[in-house]
Amino acid sequence: MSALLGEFDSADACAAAITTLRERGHAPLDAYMPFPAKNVEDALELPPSPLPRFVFVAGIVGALTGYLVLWWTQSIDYPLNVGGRPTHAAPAFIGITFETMVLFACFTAFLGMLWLCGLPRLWHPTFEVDGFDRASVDRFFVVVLDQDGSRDELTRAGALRVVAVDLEGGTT
Amino acid sequence: MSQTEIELLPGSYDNRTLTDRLLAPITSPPRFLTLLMIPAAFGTLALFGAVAYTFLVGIGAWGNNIPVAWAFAIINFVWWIGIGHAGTFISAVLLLLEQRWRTSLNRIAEGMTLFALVQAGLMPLLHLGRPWFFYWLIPYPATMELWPQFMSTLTWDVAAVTTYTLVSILFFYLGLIPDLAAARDRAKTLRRRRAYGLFALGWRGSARHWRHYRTAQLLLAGLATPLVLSVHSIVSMDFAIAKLPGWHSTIFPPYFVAGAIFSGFAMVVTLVVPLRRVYRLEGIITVRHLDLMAKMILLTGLIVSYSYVSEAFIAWQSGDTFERHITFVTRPLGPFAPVYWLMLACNVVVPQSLWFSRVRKTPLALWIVALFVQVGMWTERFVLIVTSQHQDYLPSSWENYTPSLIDGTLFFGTVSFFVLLFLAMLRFVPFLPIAEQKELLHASKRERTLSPKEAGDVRPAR
Amino acid sequence: MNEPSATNDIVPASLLTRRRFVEWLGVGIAALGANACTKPPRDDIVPYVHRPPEVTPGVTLHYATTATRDGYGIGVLGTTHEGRPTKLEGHPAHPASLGATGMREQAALFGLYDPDRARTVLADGRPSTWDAFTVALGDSTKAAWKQRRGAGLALVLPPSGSPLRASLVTRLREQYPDISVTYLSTSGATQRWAAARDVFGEALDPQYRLGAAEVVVSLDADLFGDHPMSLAWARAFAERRKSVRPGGLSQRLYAIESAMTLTGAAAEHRLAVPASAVGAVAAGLLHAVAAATGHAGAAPIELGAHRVFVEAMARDLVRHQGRALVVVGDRQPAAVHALGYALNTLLRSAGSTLDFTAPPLPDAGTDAYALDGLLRALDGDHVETLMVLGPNPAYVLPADAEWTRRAARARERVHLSLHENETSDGATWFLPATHFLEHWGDARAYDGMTSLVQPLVAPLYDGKSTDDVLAALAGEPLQSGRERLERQYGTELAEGLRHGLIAGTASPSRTPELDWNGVARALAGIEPVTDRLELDVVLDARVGDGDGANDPWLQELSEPLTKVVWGNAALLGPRTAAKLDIRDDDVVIVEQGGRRMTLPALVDPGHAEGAVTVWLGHGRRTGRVASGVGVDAAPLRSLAAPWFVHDVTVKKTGARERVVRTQRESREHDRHLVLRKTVAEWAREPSFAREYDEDPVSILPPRLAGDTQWAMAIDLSACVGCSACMLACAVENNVPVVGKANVALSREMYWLRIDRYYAEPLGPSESPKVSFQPMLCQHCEKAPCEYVCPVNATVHSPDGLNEMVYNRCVGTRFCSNNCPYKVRRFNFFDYNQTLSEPERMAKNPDVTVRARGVMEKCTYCVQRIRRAEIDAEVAKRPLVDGDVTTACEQACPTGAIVFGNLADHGSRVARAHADQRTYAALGEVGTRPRTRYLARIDDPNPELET
Repeated sequence: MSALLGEFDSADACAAAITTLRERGHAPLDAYMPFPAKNVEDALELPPSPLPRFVFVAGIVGALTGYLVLWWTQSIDYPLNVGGRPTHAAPAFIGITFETMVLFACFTAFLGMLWLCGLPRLWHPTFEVDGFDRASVDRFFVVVLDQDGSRDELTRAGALRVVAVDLEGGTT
Repeated sequence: MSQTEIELLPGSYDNRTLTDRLLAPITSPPRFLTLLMIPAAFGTLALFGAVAYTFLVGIGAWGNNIPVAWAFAIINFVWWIGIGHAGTFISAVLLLLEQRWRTSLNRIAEGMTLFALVQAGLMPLLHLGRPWFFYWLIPYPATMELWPQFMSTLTWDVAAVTTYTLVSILFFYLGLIPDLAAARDRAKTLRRRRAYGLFALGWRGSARHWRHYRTAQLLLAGLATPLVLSVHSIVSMDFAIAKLPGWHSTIFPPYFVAGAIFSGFAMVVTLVVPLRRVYRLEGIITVRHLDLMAKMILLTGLIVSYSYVSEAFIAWQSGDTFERHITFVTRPLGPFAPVYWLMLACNVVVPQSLWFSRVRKTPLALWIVALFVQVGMWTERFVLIVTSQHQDYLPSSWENYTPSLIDGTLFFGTVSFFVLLFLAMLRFVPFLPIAEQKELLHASKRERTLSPKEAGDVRPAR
Repeated sequence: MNEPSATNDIVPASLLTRRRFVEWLGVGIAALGANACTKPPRDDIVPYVHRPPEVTPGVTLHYATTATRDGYGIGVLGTTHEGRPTKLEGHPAHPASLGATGMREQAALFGLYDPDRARTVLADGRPSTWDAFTVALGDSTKAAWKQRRGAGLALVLPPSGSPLRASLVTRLREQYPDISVTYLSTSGATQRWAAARDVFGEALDPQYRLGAAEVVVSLDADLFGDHPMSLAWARAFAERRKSVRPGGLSQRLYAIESAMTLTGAAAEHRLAVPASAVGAVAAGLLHAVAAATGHAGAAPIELGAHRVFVEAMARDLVRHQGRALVVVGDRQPAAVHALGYALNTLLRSAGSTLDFTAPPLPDAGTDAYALDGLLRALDGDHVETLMVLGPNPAYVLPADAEWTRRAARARERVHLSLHENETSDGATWFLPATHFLEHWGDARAYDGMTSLVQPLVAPLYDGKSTDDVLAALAGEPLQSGRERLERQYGTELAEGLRHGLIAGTASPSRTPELDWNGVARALAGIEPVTDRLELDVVLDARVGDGDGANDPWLQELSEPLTKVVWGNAALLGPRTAAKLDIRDDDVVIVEQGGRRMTLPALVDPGHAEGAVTVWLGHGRRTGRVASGVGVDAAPLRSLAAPWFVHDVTVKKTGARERVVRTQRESREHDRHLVLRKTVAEWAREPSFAREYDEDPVSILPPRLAGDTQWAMAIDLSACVGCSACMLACAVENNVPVVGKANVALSREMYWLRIDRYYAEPLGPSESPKVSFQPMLCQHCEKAPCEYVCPVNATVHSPDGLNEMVYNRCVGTRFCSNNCPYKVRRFNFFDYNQTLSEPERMAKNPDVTVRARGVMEKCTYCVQRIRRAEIDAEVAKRPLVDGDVTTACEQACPTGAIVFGNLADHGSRVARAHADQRTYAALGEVGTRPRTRYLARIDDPNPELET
């Protein structure tokens, strides 16, 4: 599948371009930028990330796992008389339960983010575009499907240059 | 847009120069780094020497005895953990509060956290009489079908410190990814390009990615904030849970957290003041940053001082013979009285100088205050741990404590190891967050151009 | 001053010195022999309890034998594991033991396994054999002696009541009429006999009936220390103390002494005066008592500040005529003993609280116990052959005896000893001796009871007993010790061995007539009180005259009053110390007429002013453990004045040396640890202990039920602080010795310690009150140590034991921090790593030897509990009270420690816990200790209370 990559020198230009493209009925796929420029993101009207829901569930699971391990090991599997205390000492279990919750949640947040982004992926067609390395420095790129007119649209929107990329393969 | 906001901005750079400026320390590292690394490396060797010796002959190599069964190792552990906390505090709590001034500091702070945790983590392990069985503190299906005893705060410690370390690593690395990408893209040699490229995980700054990335960062921050509070609370319970007079106290969790942030900020200042001077970062880490950190030190310092007062009051009000003895006889008058008074001087008296903005805004003065605070917080742990133990319930078992040479080596060894790791970070990792700086630059530029209404969404909620 | 020698300091293996390596090499070689020797002895031994067909592995056998103190027998039962002696306990039927042991008896086991023991015969320092020795004193030699009727042949023997020994000596004397036999006694027993000869016309041993006495005055006598009868006396004393009821009179003890002793600590009233001034006090007392009993009194003696005390004491004694007793310490000169006998006569003690018996020691009170004859003979070169069979005169004699120089004048010098020691230097023949657990023999107790010595193990090395050598001298056919015994006892022997003693052999008591002229002579001989500084010398409570000095168990045992370990110090009274500007740990020079010794000082709150006390038995010059520990007092002693040296000067050198003690803080800080009341206070407030006995409320439900709940009770009225329990515990439980350097770092390992606290003195002229509190794991029902252990290494057993699982311990030491009693000890090093092979044989196989890095503590002797439970189960009978005795309980001479099942309401421990005096130490902490204490009740003289 072939797409066009339009390079801009500022977040505002990039955002403006995206807005016009969408008005013109082109479906901009994505933008590449050195920092999360809010206006660009808004222009793309991306859906909110599902991550928080994953993390919430993971937190619950973590807490339950923690508490169950504590309860089962202390008062079911091998109960002992320790200092005359009850084997199911709920107050003493709070700390570890909390820690396991945080641990599960954090790992889910991190790994979930990578999974949603499809990372790690050391090679990507866009990397073949020379000058794309400035996407991490000071350039903003807009990606649109290579339909008729979309190239002109990009140029009109003020793209410094437009490059075609084959999202499966390299440049063409 | 207020004057203070302007001060926090990285001067008049455009994105590209800013990038190069911020990548400069790793693309063309200064020579003095290696020079500094040599003594640090020797100190680290001494540390490993002392560790090996302790493993070989046993805890007897230290000054510990009965009743003072815990000493330097635990003091160092609590001290280093505490220092770590400021890092998380700056990067997580201030992120949630949208305190933008954190941006130029957070990575240094997070690095500091990690390296402090390395030192802290070493201690409890080494402190065991039979360290090779440390894994008995972790629940695993053992052949003897025994489990750890989870009423013991030491098992809580294992959970808390492990979690804290892992989460700090994730948080540090997550923040680093876009900047690693930048480093990859600006790399001059293929080798560096490959190295940074590998760690950048193929980051390409896609808007969709940014969205998930931002969410993840906020979630981690949101989780790290209660975590950082829980960790030092649990550490404080190592003492609060015990029956020992001077340890058995419910005020410990908040008191320890405050103390941790107190010493942590002091450590950040200790590191940052020389750093900005050497790397000429006055434009990025501005006097304003120092001023704000100084205020944090002052605030937490006041909380710590309050805790001292309340501890004494409770001891007096409880009428408990043993508590009173520890609080009003042993600590102020006992054999370790000098340490106690030094603690009060460093933690209560010296920080009061921070009421004066002259002090807060003079890097050197602030740096010296920070050093005092570090010393103060170490002595606080000494007073808490050693003095409480050496005169407890039965006068017949009262004994003094003298640290051994190994004890000293272990302490200064961890300091060198910490410095070594920190210098390594300066050498290989973009220690100033590039993307966030740009974001800050971008946002503020827009604020200046756009109407307040539009600008509303980027101004920090106050 | 002297850095600890290799063995009294633990060195990690990595710091292995060449010297130690060579030592180990030697040990390794010895081990081959040692192992071979653990088989049962050749001769048939009759088991005391039961007689299995042969040794069953895991089943311990008990043999009755006899240890000795100063020549008098103390019956013991030896425990052997597979023919290897591992423990000595008291012999319940023996009058001097009554089932108890002192620290010396407990430590004796190490003497057997001491790696420094001599192993080969030496001729002029070169290895030789017993055959060579027997050849050397072959018929020709003996003939020559016979010709000269034994002139020129001098024997130096340890004091001994052994009938066997006596008969051997008699036979020797028959063959060699002019042979010189000298008994070397380091105690002051000779003065007691001399006094008796003076006032009664014959040497006698006083038999004190403490149980019958209501008022006891001790004139420098340590009733509960190292006297051959002290175990029995302690028992009688304690029985009286334990029977006390509110308001009722138990027993009142007065002590007049210089340095604080166990007796002084137990006393209601204690007067601290220099040892040489005790005579004057005795004279004053005699005068007062004589006046009060309407006898023509002697001339009054100037008592100065002590008058009030002495007169009150006298009135009290007279009030209790017939139930009073005056005891005089052995080291006091004969004159004071004479006054003591006179006092007891006036108080009509004879027959009620006091009896006399003829000393069971042959030649007691004769010149055989005097040394000057032998010394003169040596000077006059009248001694051809000098045979020292056992003693160590070169060390124990005062400097002016100049033993080494004099002994060198004898052509032939034979030394039989367990160790090559100071006396062995330059001996023409050195002969390795056997330990008393290796040979046959007999002994007589202080009251005359004859008991037998039977070996628990064949000689570990090539040793022979003193009797063997004497028999060889007598030219008797070579025969085993057992054969000799059979000759002595005939058919009685088998029965005797079974019971360990020969019934009905106690000496008949006499009631001799007092000759008042002798008393008058004695009064004249009493030295007046001076205000010049004097040096008091006493036998060390632990190592005695030095024969125990190579025993690390004793060296590391804290001296009961000062808590000093590993060595001695110059003890000074507080005011004297202040006057001389001396503080603890100041190195001082004690000097008299150019003779001096240099040692660190220690201020002893109870010490008499105007005197400095130094313990004997230290500063040995041989032995890997003994040498270099402490300082020898010999230089300042003289044959004329062995115990008190007048006109000494004490000067600070400015140097400092730490006097290592196991307890630094001596005040209680109002923590109500040792409850003390007088009988009067108790009557006013019968339930004074209750408030310390009630457990604080707890929201947690009780978790200990079941019909076996182990518990302990310790009666502080009975405990005299003798410390036998500490050593008994250490031996039973394989507690390691850590060495001086580590004790200095407060890393001692003793599971049971005795805390000693000083309180404000009662009267103005008196010394501080002393309280002892044996402190061991309290086995708390809500144990703070347990819930802080992260690995379940210390948990609670259903029968109420606080268990320590060594193999699970990772050594976080949190349990120790959280133990309010600080009874948990930690293995900071691998303390067993440096043990030699013979030392390892002393370990109790029923108890784990702990590794480096683990915590350990009192287990209530769980191995004994489980063994008793198994035995009961095998015998299909329920466990009854008394089936389980802990090591400390078994050794305790006073029966202060009681252990048993709390759930069994009839048990002694349950009754003790229900007692009015019972309380919990630190009960307010809410630990609910299973070990409870019974408050100490004193019965002070109202006249002296202020």
